[in-house]
Amino acid sequence: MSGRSLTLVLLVVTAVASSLVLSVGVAPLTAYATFFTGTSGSGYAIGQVFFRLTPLVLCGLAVSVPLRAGLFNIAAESQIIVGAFACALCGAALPQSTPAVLAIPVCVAAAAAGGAAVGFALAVLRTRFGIHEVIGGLLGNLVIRAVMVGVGAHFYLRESVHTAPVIEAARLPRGVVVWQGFAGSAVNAALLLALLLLVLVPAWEHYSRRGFLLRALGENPDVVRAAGESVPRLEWFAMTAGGALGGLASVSFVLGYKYFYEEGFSGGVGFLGLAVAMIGRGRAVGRTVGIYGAALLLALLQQGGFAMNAIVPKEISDVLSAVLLAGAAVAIAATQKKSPRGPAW
Amino acid sequence: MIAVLMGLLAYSAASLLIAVPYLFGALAGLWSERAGVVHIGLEGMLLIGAFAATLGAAAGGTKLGIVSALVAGVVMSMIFAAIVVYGRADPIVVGVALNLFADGATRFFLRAIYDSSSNSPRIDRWASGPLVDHVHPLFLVGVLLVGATHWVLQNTAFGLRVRAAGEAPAALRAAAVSVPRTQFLALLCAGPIAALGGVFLAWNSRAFGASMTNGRGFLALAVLVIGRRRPLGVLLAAIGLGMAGALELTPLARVFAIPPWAMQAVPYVATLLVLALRRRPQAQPI
Repeated sequence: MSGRSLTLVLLVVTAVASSLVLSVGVAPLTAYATFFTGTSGSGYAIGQVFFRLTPLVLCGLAVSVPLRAGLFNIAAESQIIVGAFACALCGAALPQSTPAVLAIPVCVAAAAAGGAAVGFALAVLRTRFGIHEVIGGLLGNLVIRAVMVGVGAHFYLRESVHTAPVIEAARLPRGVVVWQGFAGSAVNAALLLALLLLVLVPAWEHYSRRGFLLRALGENPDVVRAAGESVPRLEWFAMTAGGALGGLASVSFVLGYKYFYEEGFSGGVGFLGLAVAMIGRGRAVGRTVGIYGAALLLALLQQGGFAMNAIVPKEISDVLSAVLLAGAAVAIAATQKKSPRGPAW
Repeated sequence: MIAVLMGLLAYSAASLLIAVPYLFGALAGLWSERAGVVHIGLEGMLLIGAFAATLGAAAGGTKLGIVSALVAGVVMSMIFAAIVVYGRADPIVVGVALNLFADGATRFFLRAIYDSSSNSPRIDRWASGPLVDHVHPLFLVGVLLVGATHWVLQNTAFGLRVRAAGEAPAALRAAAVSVPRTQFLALLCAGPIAALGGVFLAWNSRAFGASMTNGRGFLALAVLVIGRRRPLGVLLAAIGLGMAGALELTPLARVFAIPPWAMQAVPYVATLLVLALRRRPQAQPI
């Protein structure tokens, strides 16, 4: 997104925010003051913003990789849920004596595998059964939500809606280890994983052969066939990779915050991943910066809404995120040449 | 014997009731998609219709509830149409934004107006009595709308333009008709229809609950696809989905010891199966 269009969209968001704030009888300036202190006024606040940033970055990547290939990953929400479940079960099942250097990668891999399985399933539904990945994804979200209620009940601790805690060795250190100011915040080492992937994945997309093929798939599938590659296999790869990234988005919560899987923990972050991917478009470094910026923006909105909750209902952040997303979609369309078919991400 | 008959009657009645929101949602989606605009935001439209109906009914009775919902439906689809048709933004993305907006805004005002994070106070039922309880008037309205949609699409110039906007926009342009304007008008038809689905939800539960649509808007999309984007097909698919959903209320679960969450998943899995096994007519976007 260009700087000018971003400014325009932010103006619209501010206008909507002010109207909503006024409608509940609060002065906008008061609300904004609370917003700022709640997001940057203390180490805790900053930590919380980064804590929310982590899954947003990963969900943004989860959507943007398949998007390169012209596929909509609308099932990021299911991917993070299944990934979290796999990670939590794995972490709880490991023997207590497992060293951290083994426990953490195994659990992280489990999270990725869980999400990847969902992505792969959707890809197969698309290529083998002709079910568009958006419909499949939306229905898949519903199926997984229903199934998780039943499966979860089997694994939850008695009279709770969460699984057994993961072993000590699998737990990620909190931000307070690095800076005293982060005390009390849930920000943890998963942030590093997110940032690492944030740099690696767009670079890989831009510089590798497979990344090139993914982009080609999105713009002109004939190029892929001319290169002797199979379109369905590439679609499988794209959706599975996206799914794995979505699964990884759960690591911050499961291994770094609560240390178990809890029903409802994701709270719609998978759909916000779409917003992150849309707003953060670009190539290579541009995409890294873009996704970071978009995720930061949404994380600020989320944390800010939380901070304002006493005076303004926190749901305002969802409304503003939606307006941001719609604005970004218009801004992107305005910069596109009129393309005859399909998105040209 | 009588018991079986009564059971079947109850099952059919339940099927029709469950089918109503899917019918309205899919019909709204039909108007949108026949004009060439994919409508992922049906979930949000249903939710907004339900909330507006609740607010209106609380303020001034049932009639005001219906009117508020219709107005909200028109306004919301005007905004959606403006962004998608004139802003040329990707309809899938804007649809997701619409759903997010609707869920957030309804919860926001639920907190602001009723100071509750989950439910509004109860609203009156429209009418009651044995007939209404079994064949809700909105189902009949839905059937009428199915007929009306078919008639308008097939027999009017407007309907022809809408179909052309979706199937052959170049031809429409050649006839010097504005494609965006036609799509805009088609979306304006879709809005109130979806809102009526929301009205049903609000009445059925006698209140508005946070996220009460619970995925029905997405299933409506599937109903649209299964019904081949035709009014009659959509009606049959909606009833079929209603029957799948009504299985949860039968003794089937008890007899086969199927847990409740699996019964909940039956409609979703059934839909996926039907989608997987149908003959693909031609390469459709969604």
